Amino acid sequence: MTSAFALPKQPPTPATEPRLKPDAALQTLDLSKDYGDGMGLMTELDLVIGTGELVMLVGPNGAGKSTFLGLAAGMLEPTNGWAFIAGSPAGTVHARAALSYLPDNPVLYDDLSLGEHIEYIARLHKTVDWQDYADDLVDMFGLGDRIDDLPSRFSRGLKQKTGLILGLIRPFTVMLVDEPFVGLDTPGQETLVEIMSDVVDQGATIICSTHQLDLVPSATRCVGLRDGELAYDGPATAAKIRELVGGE
Amino acid sequence: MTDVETPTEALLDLRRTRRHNRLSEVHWIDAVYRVYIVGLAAVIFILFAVSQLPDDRLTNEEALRFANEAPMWLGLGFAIAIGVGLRSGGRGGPLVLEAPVVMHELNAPVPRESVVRGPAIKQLRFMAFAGAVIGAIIGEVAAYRLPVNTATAIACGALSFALVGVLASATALAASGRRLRWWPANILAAVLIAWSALDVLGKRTTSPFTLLAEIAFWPITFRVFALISIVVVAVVVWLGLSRIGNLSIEHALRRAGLVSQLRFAVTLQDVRTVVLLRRQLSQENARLRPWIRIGRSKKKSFIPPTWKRDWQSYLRFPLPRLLRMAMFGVIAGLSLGALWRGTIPMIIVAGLALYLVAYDASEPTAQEVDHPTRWESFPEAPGILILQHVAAAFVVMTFICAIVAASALILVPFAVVWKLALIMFVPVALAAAVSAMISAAQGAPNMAGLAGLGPDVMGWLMIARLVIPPAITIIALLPLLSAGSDPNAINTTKVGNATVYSLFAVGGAILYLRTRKPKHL
Repeated sequence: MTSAFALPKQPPTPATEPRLKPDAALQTLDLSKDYGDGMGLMTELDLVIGTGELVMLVGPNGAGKSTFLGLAAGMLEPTNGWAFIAGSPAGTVHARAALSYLPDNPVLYDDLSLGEHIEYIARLHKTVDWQDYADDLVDMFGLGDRIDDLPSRFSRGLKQKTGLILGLIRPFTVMLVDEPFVGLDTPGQETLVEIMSDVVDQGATIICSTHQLDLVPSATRCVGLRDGELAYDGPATAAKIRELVGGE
Repeated sequence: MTDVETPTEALLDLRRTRRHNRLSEVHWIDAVYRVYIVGLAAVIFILFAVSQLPDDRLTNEEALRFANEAPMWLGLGFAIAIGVGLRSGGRGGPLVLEAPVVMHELNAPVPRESVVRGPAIKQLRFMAFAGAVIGAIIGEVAAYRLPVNTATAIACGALSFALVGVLASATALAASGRRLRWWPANILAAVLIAWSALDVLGKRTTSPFTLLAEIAFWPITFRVFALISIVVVAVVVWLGLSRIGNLSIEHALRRAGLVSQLRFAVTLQDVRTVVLLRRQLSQENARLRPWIRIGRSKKKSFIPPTWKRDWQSYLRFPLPRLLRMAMFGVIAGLSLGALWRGTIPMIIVAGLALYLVAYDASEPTAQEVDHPTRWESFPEAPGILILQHVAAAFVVMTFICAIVAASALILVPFAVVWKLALIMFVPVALAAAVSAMISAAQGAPNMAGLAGLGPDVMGWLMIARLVIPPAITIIALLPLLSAGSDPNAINTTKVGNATVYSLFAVGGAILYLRTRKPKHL
């Protein structure tokens, strides 16, 4: 019989769990999520992603990519197992400080302008000297003349750009991004690839759910999921990605 | 430079900015208009309620007897309110945070308590205010019949109901912060309601909710033990706020998305969408395994496919929905009992309760409306398909009418119920079924089309969309008014004749259903 309370269990420590690697950027231990209808992350997933990696997370629709990212971000509660961000259990204050998570649908306040959004997120995460970097990001994504507009009224692509700026303006060591290229115009896509490469060069880790082949040259690794199970873990090549997405 | 600032300061600063931005968009005329509308509605309600009361006041002895028995019943009502709170808490409620708050603030490296405490206190405050307003209105109305000081009755009514509002919300917060699962929350709710029900049956005061209800009766008789309930409320509020940061982020995000859609659907008066979203919010999903599986038909089957499909739908109804349908049946029965005893307005309560049950019974019809492409592919007039769903909904409503009749027996003699049930069963079950089907079949309002008619006509049409379907059920109950109140001289002929008129309304509704067509949004 299940417990009357759904409180999370005490997380393992390196002393109680020898598999735990505190220096990993992201680690999952026996991680699974069952939505009760045969969907989700069905097999227990063990994955270690080191610092400075750019990982492409690929798989056909319903493979479990968004579930995996949601679990790693602490937004979803696992049925079993653990996710660790920079050595801390997902969802804890330390993990939240280290992690920047961008869901597939940008989540924005209805009553804050783009400039107010940026200031708020930067200050909430104790970013030092964020102003110049914010101006750079806004210019790179071509939103300089929209800084006082409400992003909730932006088009899908502009909202996506706003979400990316908010994900980048705060300090992080691990970034989880779900389908960031959807809705972006070609210059926006090129800018994003460029920024991601820079971020990884500076030592951060990015796990990006995408089928965008432009990212392959920068990617250090590819993780493929299919039917909620790990289907591939190895180098990122265009051929492999096509195979994983096509489900061949 | 922001390196000396704490994220909590940034959080407070943001809230100020957002409040400023929101207020700058609200015109003071709008604010005054809203207050005016709420005030007007309250005054109309009080005048209506007072007009329904008999003119004679209760004597002191009668009032004392009333104050000895009524708190148990009121306590039972309070227990149900707390049960609803527990149910909400077991599903991640009662807080509804905006999606950006969940995504950006609960994911920021700040203690989650600091993010959630403000909205939690705001909700407790609102519940206290709403409870106080309801309690004050009830106190004002009660003071017309009871030998009490009006101001005291209003104050005690407001206090008692405000405490219940706070307690319901705090119970939900306590359950949510401790991640109580839905099933123990439901069990606990059932136990608390049963405890209050035992107080009613045994005419004793043991439940804290009965004590809480006694506060409302202080103007008649002051019982010091009722103060214990205030301590209970304080403890539960402390429990509710103490672990509030521990709420489930997954639930919070799900609720955020659903509630914003729900508000939009309510604004549009799209009843079907409201029902669907409310089901999602309370995680009331169709059963993966039906209660009884209806197997595949043989090569030649005489069972109409629509009839079979309808029962396949009903047999996947989850237990909470079935229990809710039965509960509304009981409410309708008790309301009709009160009607027979002379409280005429209870016919509206009974009609609305039956209509709400019928809304669940019209689920297969609503499924057709939700899938216009499939409905359109039906190789006959589209209204014919909708009419084919009437039979199963009618049968479901006859089961419910049996529950209604059984519940009415609590207040009405068996001979009366038996005679009236024989006449009323078919027309009421049919009227309830078709009235809910009308509501489902009319689909979401076509705002663009309605707007072309001008604001005045549009307003009336929107009201008509909302009012006509339940009115058909209430019309079907009207013949009961001609039954008379003497159990030995029930005028069944008069009731039977009046029923013919109510069947005209049902006929009109069926004709309307026949003309329905699929709508693509």
